Amino acid sequence: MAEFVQLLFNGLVTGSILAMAAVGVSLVYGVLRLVNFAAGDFMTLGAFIAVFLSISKGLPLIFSVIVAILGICLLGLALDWLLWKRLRENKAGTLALFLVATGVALILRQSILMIFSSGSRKFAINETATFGFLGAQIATSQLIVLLLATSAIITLGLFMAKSTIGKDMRAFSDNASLAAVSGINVNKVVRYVWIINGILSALAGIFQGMVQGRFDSTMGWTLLLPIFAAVVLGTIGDAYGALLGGMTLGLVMEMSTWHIFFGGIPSSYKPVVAFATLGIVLLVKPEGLLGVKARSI
Amino acid sequence: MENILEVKSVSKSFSGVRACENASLSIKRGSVTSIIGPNGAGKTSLFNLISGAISPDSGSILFNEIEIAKKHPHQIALLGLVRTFQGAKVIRRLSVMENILLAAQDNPGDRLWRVVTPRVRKRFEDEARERALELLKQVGLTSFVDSYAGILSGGQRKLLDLARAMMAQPTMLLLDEPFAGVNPALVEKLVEVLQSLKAKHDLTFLLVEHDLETVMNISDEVYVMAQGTVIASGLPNSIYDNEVVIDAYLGTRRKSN
Amino acid sequence: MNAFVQPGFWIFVLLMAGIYCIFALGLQVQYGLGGILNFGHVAMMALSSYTMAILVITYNWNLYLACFAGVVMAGLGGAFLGLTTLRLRGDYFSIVSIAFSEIVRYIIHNSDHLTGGAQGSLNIPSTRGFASYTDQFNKVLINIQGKIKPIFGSFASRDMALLLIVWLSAIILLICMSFIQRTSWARVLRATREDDDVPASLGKNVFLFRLSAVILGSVVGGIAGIYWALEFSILDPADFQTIVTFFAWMVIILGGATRVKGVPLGALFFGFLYAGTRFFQFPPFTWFDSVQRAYLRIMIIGFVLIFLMLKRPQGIFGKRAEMVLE
Repeated sequence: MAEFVQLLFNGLVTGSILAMAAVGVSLVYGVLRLVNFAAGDFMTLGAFIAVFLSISKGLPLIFSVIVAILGICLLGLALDWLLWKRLRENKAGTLALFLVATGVALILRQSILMIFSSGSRKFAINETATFGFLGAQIATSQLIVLLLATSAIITLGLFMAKSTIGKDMRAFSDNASLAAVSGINVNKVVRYVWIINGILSALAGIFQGMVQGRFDSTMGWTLLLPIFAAVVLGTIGDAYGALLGGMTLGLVMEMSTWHIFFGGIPSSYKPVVAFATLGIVLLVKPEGLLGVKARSI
Repeated sequence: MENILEVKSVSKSFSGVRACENASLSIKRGSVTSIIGPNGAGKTSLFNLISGAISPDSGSILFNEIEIAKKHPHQIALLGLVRTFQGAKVIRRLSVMENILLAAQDNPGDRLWRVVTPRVRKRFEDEARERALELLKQVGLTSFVDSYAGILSGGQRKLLDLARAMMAQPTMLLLDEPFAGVNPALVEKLVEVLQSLKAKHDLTFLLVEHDLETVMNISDEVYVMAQGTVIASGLPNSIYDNEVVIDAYLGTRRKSN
Repeated sequence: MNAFVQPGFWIFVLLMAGIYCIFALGLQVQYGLGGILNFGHVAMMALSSYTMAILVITYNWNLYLACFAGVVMAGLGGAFLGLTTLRLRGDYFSIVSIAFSEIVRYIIHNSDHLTGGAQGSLNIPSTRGFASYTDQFNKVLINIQGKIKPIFGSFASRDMALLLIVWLSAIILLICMSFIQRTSWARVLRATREDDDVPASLGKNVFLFRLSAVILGSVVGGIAGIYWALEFSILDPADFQTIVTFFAWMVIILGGATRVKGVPLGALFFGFLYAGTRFFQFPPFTWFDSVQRAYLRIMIIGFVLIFLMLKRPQGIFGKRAEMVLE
């Protein structure tokens, strides 16, 4: 029982972090048709900025987190202005976007390595503090992350549902050309997408760093596959789907290490479990959990 | 078998919307049959059901007494039931000749291992080429034989679409709005081509069309669809007098006549 | 500047170019003909090289049979990938193909008892005590080295012998691919790039055509993997990361994506860019220490990739008018 509660909790935490990152990726795809391979590196950079400011510079944690969020938002906006906007104007196809996104991811990762060097980092939080719950020892830091992540997700959900810009984003994601001619401010929508993506990515990275304890520059990349699995699982472009996909995979990944499943699948295989789950779902529903069949050309 | 195609009570829904509801057709071998009806009547859905692009929720479709309701489009084409496309889809980056050669059936070169038997492939290609040139002559596109299909005008693409479908040596052709957006002179030409093809190759035609005048002129039988079902069928003239049809569709037309 | 006058430098660059030429050719078949965006191609290299290594080291297979088995394994990998994922929509296929190659690498990384795990092929359990698969092959190389000594004198090294073998294979494969381009099989694939419905309406099973393209490309990728294994003598899962697939993409785009003949040119350019920059001992490279220089080199690749797609998507050798990047 204790193991079950422990793993369930781990699943919820991993799930909420995955969900946050996945929503960012899905939104970016939904509105910009861009598969953001740099998503993992956005997360890593957010975590590194926050930890650099709070540990090496001794600044308050909240302040560091806010600066990190601002940094990632600015990065997203800058990249859009430099690259994605140009590619949009040239009506670049899938391949061009893929490869440029990869180029960006490569540059970003190497930059992180060059600036921050390859050692591992740790936030100044006490990850050993635990409390007992139904027989399991839950880390306090995990609980805090879970609460914060859930709040962020709920806030975002409300924003997307109730605000004008949120509705505009969803309209754009459904049918870009129609939305553009119906008077929706395209540039505003694009800006908001990168800002929301920035907030979600930075926070997801910081939360992951906190939960992981020690983390290095590969943190984001390691999570990238489960993030994409979550995005595809929930049907790419659908923010609510990404949420569902993220939580589902987070739970599946953590619960797979439960000993009642043949002694528990080794935890190093968690990404494989995530993709196996995705594979099974896609066999039955090739468009993803929430998808409608894509129209043929 | 007198009826080359039998559609028996097919129904199809998309997310709760009934596109086709117990639609039935019987197409006689060697005839020209047209399906008409207002927009949203389900004509295109029925067409797609027959050609295999979608499969029915219920009912059956028999082609030469073979059940094709659950078959894939390429399997249905291999049985001899070939379709053309609304707006005449051509492969823009291939030449006109290459577009037609795509349709050659049982091409040994389609099998990758045949790369090692160039002579077998060449023999087939040469024969196919001759047939293709014949067809191009029949539709009047000979001068475009090596041009990229992308440069053809809309009307020329329709002719190519037709020639390509013929190259596949079909026993029955499904024509998807062959006269849509085509100027009157070309309509005449198309009708001419269709009739000469029919005479030469013993074909059955099934068309979906909006151009009523041409439909009435060339069809042996007409089916009228509205709201997913067949509401009337018979000789072209009988359709004009049919009250149900007039209500659903031909109202304004009747009055202008 | 010393690096440039060392023949070893040029031989290494040409060798890498040759291996990447073959590897990229496998990718070009899939993209150039079928428009298939396969981003998991490196998995085929990993599958062929590790299969060969395991068969030779653990099971004492004859090297040449093991190489053949490795290539077959790559083909099977391609078949598995295609069968499971080609029916998915385009962007899903691309994402899942990356996952495929990462999972293959993952499994290699975590299966110490079979593949040696993170320590690489040196750790593969061997009956002879030393995990090497190149013993038989080294004899062949030395043999060839002896034969070419009269021509190349002191430049005739083991690497040069392998270089000749690799480029000979590359040329043979290029000729094969050129022949394949002229079949009706290729014509159907080119049609499917634009539209699935038209070929289907003419009786073509589009899925099977695509699958055969993926399998063919995977087999060729597998051949590249074998040469990789023979050149480096040891395998490491870190050598088969997704970035390698992107290098291959860069090669085919540099050469003009739909042109078979562009692949060797793209490979040479890439070979120089990547392998060559390792030996640059002049500023601005000397401003950074060697660790940082490694990062810088990859950053350069990233910049070149971006520049290519933004400014010259037809590659160095392609024509704008022929461009089919969609």
